[in-house]
Amino acid sequence: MRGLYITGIGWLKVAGLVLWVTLCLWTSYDSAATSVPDAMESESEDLVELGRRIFSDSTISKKGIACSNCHQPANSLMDGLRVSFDGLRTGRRNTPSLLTVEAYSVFFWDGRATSLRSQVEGPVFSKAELDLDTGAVVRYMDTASVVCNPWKGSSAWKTRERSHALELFFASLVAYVRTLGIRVDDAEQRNRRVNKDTRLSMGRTIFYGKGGCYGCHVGTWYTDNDFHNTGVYPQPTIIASSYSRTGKMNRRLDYDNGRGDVVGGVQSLFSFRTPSLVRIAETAPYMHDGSMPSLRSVIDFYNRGGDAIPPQKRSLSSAIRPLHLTEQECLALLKFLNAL
Amino acid sequence: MAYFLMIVLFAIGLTVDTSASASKVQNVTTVVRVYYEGSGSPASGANIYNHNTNQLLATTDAFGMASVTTPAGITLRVVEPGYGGEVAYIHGFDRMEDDGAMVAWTI
Repeated sequence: MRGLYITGIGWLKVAGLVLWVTLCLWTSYDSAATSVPDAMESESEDLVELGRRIFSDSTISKKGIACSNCHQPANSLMDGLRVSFDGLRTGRRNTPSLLTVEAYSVFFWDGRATSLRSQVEGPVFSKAELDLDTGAVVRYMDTASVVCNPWKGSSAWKTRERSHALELFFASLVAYVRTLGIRVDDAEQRNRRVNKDTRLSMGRTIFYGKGGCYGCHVGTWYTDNDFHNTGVYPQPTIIASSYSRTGKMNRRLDYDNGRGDVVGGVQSLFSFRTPSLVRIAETAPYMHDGSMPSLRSVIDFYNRGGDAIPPQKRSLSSAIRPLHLTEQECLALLKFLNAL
Repeated sequence: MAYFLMIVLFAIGLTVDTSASASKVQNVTTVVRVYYEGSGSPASGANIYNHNTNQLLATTDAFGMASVTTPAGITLRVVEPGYGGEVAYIHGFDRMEDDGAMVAWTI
């Protein structure tokens, strides 16, 4: 009996071991089968880490550039240049800082993306930036040395690789970019501190009053997420080809129509999204074309009523007019903006 | 390396005002194909506007094709999609030279 009893315990051990191994395998398989999409939804640390690696990997593009070339972590997540530069040619607009990525419901200066996900796709697929296609993204996710995603090699990854690769690529970039921006509670805390500072009271009064800034720069993030033609003197940055009935073509430089190239209507011409003002002092140069090197130059611009030329005037914002701010008022407003 | 949009355009005069002139065109249907020079890949999502009113008339499909019918003589503006830094102006015509036959520009 003793021996049988011992044998019985032994069988129980074996049975238990088999059950444990089976459970482990089943759990492992189940985890592999569901972990990729689950992780994409939960924005796990793995997903963020993968996004971080992709964000700064310059092998991703044939041009040898990465997202971090323009959105430099050490430079307030922008490049400090007047307009972006991909190493081969200059862009037409100023690189927006990712510090205030949470501020926006529309993305790009012209608002052509209505979600962060679609915004992220923009530079990845653009010929003017990373210049990838979906096949290149899938190959990258499969072969790039920096991509050591935790799901690679799992059965789920292998069987659904292509569809997952694309989703994982963009989900990880979005997850990472979200970690870069200022959080809304931090922005609110900054605002409370600024609003309590009595040394800023004159500038604050001008911001909300005579300066008219609050007409567009509203809320926690100081942006209405809307589009306005503020009369920034237009730079000829667009390559315009003209075709006539004889088939002749000539090329010249033309003005940037802004929102007007995304949606119809005269009012959208030369209009650009209102930028957030949170930590605005760190993100010079200013305006969609980076034409203003300092906040003081921005104040001077609005104080003189903008620089609109005739083609812009039919869509110029009605709020743009000379402000008649004194030098003292300009300095007070500058001090307020620097504190935001 | 610079790249350019390349516009291939076909224009067909539809309505002829015979009372004023036998070759006077009132409305024009313009078929536009937009592709990238070099690669030849179609530029889908390119918006086409009436340049005078900035009215959005059409957007190119997956083949880079779109068709718009407009009064004769207006200028169309074709905008490179996405990050594009290019536009193309297609200056309309109001007379047919070949008895109303198709006018095709391949540029």
